[in-house]
Amino acid sequence: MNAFKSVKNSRGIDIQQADPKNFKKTLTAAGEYTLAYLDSSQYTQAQITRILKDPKTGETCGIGIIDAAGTINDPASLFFQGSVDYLPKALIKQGITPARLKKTASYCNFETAPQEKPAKSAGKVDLILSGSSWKDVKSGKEYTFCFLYIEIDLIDEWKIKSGHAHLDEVKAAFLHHVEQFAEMLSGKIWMWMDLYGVILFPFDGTACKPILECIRLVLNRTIISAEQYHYTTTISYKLALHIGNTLYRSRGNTGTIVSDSVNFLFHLGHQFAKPGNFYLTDPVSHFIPKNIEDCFIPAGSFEDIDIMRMRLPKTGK
Amino acid sequence: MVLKIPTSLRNLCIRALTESMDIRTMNHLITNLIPGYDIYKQTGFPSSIAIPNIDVARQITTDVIQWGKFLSFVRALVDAQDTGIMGRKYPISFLREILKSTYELGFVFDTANKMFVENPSYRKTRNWGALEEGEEYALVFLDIDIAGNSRLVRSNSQKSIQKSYADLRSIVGNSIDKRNGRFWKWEGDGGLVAFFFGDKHTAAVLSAMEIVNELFIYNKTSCVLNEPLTVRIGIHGGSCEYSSNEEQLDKLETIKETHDLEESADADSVFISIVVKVMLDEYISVHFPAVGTKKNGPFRYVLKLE
Repeated sequence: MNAFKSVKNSRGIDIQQADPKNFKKTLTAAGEYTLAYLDSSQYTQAQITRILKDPKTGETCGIGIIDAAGTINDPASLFFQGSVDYLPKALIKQGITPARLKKTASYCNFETAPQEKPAKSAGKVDLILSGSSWKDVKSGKEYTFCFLYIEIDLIDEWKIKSGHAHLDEVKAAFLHHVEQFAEMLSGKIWMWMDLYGVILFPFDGTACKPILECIRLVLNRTIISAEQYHYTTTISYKLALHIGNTLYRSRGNTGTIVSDSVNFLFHLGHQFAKPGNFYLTDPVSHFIPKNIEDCFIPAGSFEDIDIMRMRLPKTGK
Repeated sequence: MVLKIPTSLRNLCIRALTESMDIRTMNHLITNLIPGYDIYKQTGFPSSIAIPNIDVARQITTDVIQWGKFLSFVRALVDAQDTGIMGRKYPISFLREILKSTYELGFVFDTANKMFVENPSYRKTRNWGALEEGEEYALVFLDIDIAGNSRLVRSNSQKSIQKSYADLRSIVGNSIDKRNGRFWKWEGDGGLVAFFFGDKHTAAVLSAMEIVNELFIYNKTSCVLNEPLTVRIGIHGGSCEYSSNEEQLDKLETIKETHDLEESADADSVFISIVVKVMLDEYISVHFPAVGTKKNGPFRYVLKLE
């Protein structure tokens, strides 16, 4: 405890010494967002590993290791196991400063100690979150949604040579496919014009689930064409994902809705999007899952909103 | 396969035979199904005595059930109605009810192969409830193996390895299940899948493409290993004698060739043989260019983004 002498007298830090045998009880009593240091001379290596790997301590408690005797050969391995600090012999002799503990607390993200996961910023969109499901979405009120514009790329031959019956069949197959896709993600087909339309997804501000499923739609185009469409040719579609606000009314009652987000999305789909491509607008790009970012490249801007495009699979290479 | 047939279904079959055919026709039907079948020997009636219709029907039904030929028998009834026996079609009484009861037992009729197979939502057995031991069938095989497995095992914890093996099995299982494929072997780091029904070449190829595409996303979002999980996949088809004995599999020529193809594949790619390539529609086949300059393959699929 002598090593922590200057911390004991510091304002804003409450420090206690506890019996190593009562580690778990002490931690539980201390509550959330506690920084605890284990004296390595009082525990076996196996006990230290067990404490560090305990998922209950992971989220709300940081564990540091005191090695006053200098017996730990590989301090880095403690960090791989989940430790947040290591106090070697030399530092113990010098004495631990309040600044050092505050740095460690900052490393643990304890300073902000959030009560719930905050909504991430969605660029310039003023968030009126619709939530993670439709249960709280009321007709006639404005919310932030995730919008997906989807349009089938009609093969030229079909446009020129196909009769009504064949085109009607294609439209029906496309609608069926889109219905299945929307249902899988708890979305609703909101506006539909035979060959293109908009799906609405509730948005809770923490994630944009359609991103990964749209990536699958692109990667699995050939598979989907074989099993959903049965036309012995690859069917592709334009996809554009956007986060924005709109007044909500159920499908069929959307005729009088005036929404910048909806207008922007249709302009994007008709004027900017190229066949077979998947685009994300800037508000959505904040929610690209970690490690998926390199699947997207900048594609310029449209109506002052930055656009990203998915890198497409190369055929037959 | 010996099935437990409810008494009601058994009785329906007896009535169907009795009301739809004379003894001579019943005899033709059963001897087509079981060559050498002797109704006199089975019933115990002397050959000089005329056996009542119902006794013949009852004996035939009992025997096909006991000998595991019930599904083939129902198929024979369907054929008797649709195609005929010796040039004449026979409307079969209660056929609709018999088929409905067979569906309720967990079997569906595969029109391409004209046989009953198990309904996958009821059960999934190695032989689809249809292939018979020792019989030859045209099958397509998909052999999958983790690339660099030994290196992964050395450099990752046992827990991470076990999780990754389970994740891979799940990805492969999801992909083959929807296309009616069956695991014939699984050893943690890979295995063998068989396809028999429908467009089996396309089913195997689309399964493999989906596995590769899904692993691409998995490696970016969920992989716990210290490097991406990559696989080699080989697909080949041919004639194969069905055996329920897993140890016999490695001796079968088509399976050996599939395994060789998998071993020659690059990591993260699918190699298919010419036998498979020629069976694919052009819009699928275009994704499998020849490896090197060899016209007869193998042919490779690899997922690469722009």
